[in-house]
Amino acid sequence: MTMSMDEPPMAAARSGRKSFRTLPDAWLCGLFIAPTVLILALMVFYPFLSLIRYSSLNFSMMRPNVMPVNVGWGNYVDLLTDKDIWQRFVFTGKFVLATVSIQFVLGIAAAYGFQRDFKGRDFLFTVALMPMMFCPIVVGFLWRYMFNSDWGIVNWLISLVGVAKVDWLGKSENALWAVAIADAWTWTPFVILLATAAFRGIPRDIRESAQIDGASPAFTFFRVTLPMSLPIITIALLLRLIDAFKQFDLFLAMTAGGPASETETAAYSLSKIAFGYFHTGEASAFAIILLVVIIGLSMVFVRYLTRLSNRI
Amino acid sequence: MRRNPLLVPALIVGTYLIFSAGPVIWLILSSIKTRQDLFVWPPSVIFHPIWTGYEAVFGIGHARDTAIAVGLFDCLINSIVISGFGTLFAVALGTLAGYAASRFRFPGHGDFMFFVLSTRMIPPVSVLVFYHVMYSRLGLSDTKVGLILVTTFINLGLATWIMKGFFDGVPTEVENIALVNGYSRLYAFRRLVLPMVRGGIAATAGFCFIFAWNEFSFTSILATTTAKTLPVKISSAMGATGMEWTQIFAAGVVLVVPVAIFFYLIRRYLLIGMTFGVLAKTSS
Amino acid sequence: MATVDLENLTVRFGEVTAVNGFTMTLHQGEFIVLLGPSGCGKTTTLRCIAGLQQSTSGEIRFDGKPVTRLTPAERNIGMVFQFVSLYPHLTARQNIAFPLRARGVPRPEIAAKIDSVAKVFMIGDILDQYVVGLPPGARQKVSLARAVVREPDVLLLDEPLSGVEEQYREEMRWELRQFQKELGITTVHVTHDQREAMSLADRVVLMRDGKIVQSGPPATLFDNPADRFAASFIGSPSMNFLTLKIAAGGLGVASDQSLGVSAPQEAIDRFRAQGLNEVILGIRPHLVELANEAPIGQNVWPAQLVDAVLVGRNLQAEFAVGGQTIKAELPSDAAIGPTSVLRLPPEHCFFFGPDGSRVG
Repeated sequence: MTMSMDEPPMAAARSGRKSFRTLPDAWLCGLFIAPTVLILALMVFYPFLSLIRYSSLNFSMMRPNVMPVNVGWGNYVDLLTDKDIWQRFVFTGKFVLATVSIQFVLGIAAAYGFQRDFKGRDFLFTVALMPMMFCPIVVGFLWRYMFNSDWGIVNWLISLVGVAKVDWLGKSENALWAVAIADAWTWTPFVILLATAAFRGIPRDIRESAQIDGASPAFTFFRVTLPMSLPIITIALLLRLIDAFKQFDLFLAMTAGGPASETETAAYSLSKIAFGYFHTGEASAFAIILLVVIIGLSMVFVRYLTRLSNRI
Repeated sequence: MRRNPLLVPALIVGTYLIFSAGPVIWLILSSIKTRQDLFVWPPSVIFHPIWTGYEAVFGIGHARDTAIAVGLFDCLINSIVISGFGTLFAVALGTLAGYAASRFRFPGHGDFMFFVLSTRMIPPVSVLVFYHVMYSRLGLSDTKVGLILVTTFINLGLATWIMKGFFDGVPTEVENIALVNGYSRLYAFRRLVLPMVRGGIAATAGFCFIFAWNEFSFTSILATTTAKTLPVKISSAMGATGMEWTQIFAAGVVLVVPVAIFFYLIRRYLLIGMTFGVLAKTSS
Repeated sequence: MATVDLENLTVRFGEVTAVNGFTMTLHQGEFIVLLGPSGCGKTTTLRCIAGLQQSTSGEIRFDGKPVTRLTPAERNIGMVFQFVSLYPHLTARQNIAFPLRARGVPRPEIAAKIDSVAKVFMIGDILDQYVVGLPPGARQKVSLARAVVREPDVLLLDEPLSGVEEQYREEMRWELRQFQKELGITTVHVTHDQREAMSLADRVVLMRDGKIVQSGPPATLFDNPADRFAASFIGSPSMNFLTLKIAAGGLGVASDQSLGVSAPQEAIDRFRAQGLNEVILGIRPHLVELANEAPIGQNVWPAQLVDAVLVGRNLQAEFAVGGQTIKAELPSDAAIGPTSVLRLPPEHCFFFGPDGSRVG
C-alpha cells in the first residue's frame, strides 16, 4: 500500500499552529462529535418533550383556547385498546416486510450484476439509481395511474400473458402489494448503491483465491461476497426498515387509506389523527407508541451489528 | 463448454433496468398526454403531445400564475441553496462524527450512535406542529437558515451512520503508520483516510441531496413565502388551478432534473468501492 | 504433481513488456524460485502460470497438456498470495474446506482430506478458530493447507513470507521446504529476497526486465554468476567490484596501476582482442583474505582500513585500495590495523566487461 505524505512531520510542528495539529485524540474526538450532538439535541429536544407533554393531554390544535385536560395515560390506553389501531400495526408490519424484502432481493441481485466493469456501466448505473430521485408524491400518483384497474399499464402488461384485470387499489390485499411495489421501486436503488460499494470493496486477492479454488461465480457470491458484505447490508436493511415504517406519501397518493381505512398504515393513521381530526394529544401519544415500536425493532439490528463488528 | 461469464449479470441488470426505467419512461410520456389519451385502453403509445402540464409547472402559457407572491425562479434558488447547504453540513458533520465513532471508541459511543439513528425514526407528521411553534418563537420561520437547519437535521443521522460504516472499513494501520512517523491524527485523517472514503462521501451526499430536495412535510409548514422551496411551490401552484394528471407528472419530471444533474456530477465517485468491517483487518 | 513447461511466454501491457520470451521446464516435485528486483516480471510470470494473467504469446503446459486457454479453476493449481487472503469470515477448517466444497466433494471425504493436511502442517489444534485471530505464521500454514488440500498439480507462492516478521521468517522457510518435500508438489515461489531464494530452491531463476538472467541450482548462481547483475544480486554481503585497466604490462587497478592483477595470459589476450581496455573484477567479501605477512604483488595489495563492524561471528571490514573500496568478511579475531595487506585469490576472481557480461 503506497501512501504519499508530502509534509515532513517536523515542519508541521514548527509551523507554529500548535493548536490544531497537536491536539490530543480526546479533544479531537470531542470536537468531531460536538456539532452533531448539538444540532441533533437541539432539534430533538423541544419537539420530543412537547410530544411527551401533549401525549398526556386532551388537547386539540384546532381549539387552542379550550383548556387542555390532563388525561394521564388516557390517550395511550385508548389507542392500545383500540382494535383498529392494532389492525393498522399489523398492516404496517406486513407492508414493511413486503417492501423491504423486494428491495433486498432486487437490490442485491442488481448489485451483483453491477460488480464487474462493462461498457456503459456508469451510465446504466445512474439510470438504475433514478427511481429514488423522484418526489415521493409524484411517484405515488404515477403508480396509482399505472395500477389503475381500467386504464393502468400494469393490468395491460399482465393481460398480455393472459391474466385478467386485477383490482389493485380497491382491495386491501392487493393494495398492500401495489404500494409495496411502488415503494420498492423507489428505494431499491438505495440498497443497490450501498451493496455495490460493499461488493466492489472485496480485496482482489480474495476474489482471485476463490477463482483458483474453483468456485463458480454463484458459489463465490453466496459464500464469500455476501457474507463479507454483511455489515453494510445490515445497515442498509436497518435504514430501509425505519423509512418503511414512516411511509406516508405513497399511501396518500395511491389509496388515501382506503378502502375504508383498510390500507391505513400506522403513519397514515397518525397523520389522520393529527391533521384530520386534530386530536393533537392523541396524535402525540400515537407518535410515541410508533417510536417505541421502531426503536424496539432497530435495537435488534443494532445489537447484531455490534456483535458482528466485535467479532473482529 | 464455456458459458459467457457476463451472461447472468447482463440478464439481471437488463431485467432490473427494464423495471427501473420503464416507469420513468411512462412518466415522461404521460406528462404530455391529454386526459383522453391517459385514460384509454389499451394504453396509448402514439398520441398528440400537449404541454399544458409543463406550462402549469412554469407558470407560463395557459397557466399564468397570479396568486403566488414568489416566483418560480426564486423558489428554485431557494431549493438549491437549502438542499445544497443542508447536504453539505449533513455530510461534513456526519463524516466527522462517523469518524469519531469509528476510531475513538469513546465511552457511550454505542448509545451515541443509537441516539443519532433515533433522530431518523421520528415521523415528521408527529412533530410538525411543534416545529412550527419552535421556529416562530426563535424567529426562524420562513428563513433559509431555518430550513437549512432542518434539512441538516433530517440527514445528519443517515450521514453519520453511513460514514461510520465506511470508516469502519478503513484499516487502522493507515493512521497508525502515520502516527508512528510523527504525523498528527488530524493530518492522517485529512490526507490519508478521507481520500479512501470518497465513495462513501459521494453516496451519502447523493442520498442527503435527494431527501433534502424532495423534502415536503417540513418545508411546507415552515416556509410559506420567502424561503419556499420548489416542490412546495409547484404543488401549491397546481393546487390553485386544480390537480391535473399531466401537471403532476410534469412537475415530477421537472423536479427530478436537478437531482439527476447532481448525481451525474458525482457519478465517478459513486462506484468507488470500499471495504467494510470484517474485510479490512485481514488484508495488507 | 506435474511437470510445467513454459515456452516463449511473453506478456505485454501496451508499450511495456513485462515478460519477454520466458522459456523453462519445471520437473515434477521441483522447488523453483523466481528471483529478481521489483518489476522484473516474476510475479507476472507466476500469475500467467496461475491463469490470472493472460499472456500475449507463448504456451504453458502441465504434463504436456496445454493449459494456456484454461481458467484458473480448470488448471488444478494451488496458490498462496502475498497478503495471505484467507476468507476472513470463516474458520481455518472452513477455509481449507472451501476449495473442496466449491467443487462438490462429498462431506466425509472433505473431513478426511482436512485431517490429513492438518497433520502435515501441524495445525490440528487451531482448525476451529476464526482465521482473523490467528498469528501470521499460523495463517500462512492455513493458507498453504488450503492451497494443497486439493492435491493440485502445481503450487504457486507469491512472496508468501514477506508479510511475516523477520524473526519468524527463517523458521518458516525451513518448515515450508519440509512441507514441500513431504508433499512432493511442483512448486514455483516468487521472491525478491535472494537469501530466501538461496535457502529454499532446487533451482533459482534470476530475472531482470522480463528476461531470465540465469537459472540453475543456488550454488551455481553463487559460484558461477552469469553476469554482473547476477553476481551483485546474489550473496550477502554483496560482491566487491573493482575497475581494472588493461595496460601494456597487464591488468591493474584502474586508479593505481601499480596494483597488479593476475590473470591467465590467454584471458588478457582475449580482452584485448575484444577491444576492451577496462574490465571489472569481482570477488565475494568472504573470499578476500588478510595476508599481512605476504609480499606485495599481484592480487596482494596494501589497504587502508575505513571501517570495521562485528556482525555475529564475523568482522565486516571495509578497506580503501587504490581509491576504490573492498569489503572483506573476516573472522572476528582477524588482525587488522590501519593498514593491512589483502589478498584476492585469483581462483575466486570473476571478470566482467563494461557491459556487465561475464568475460572470465
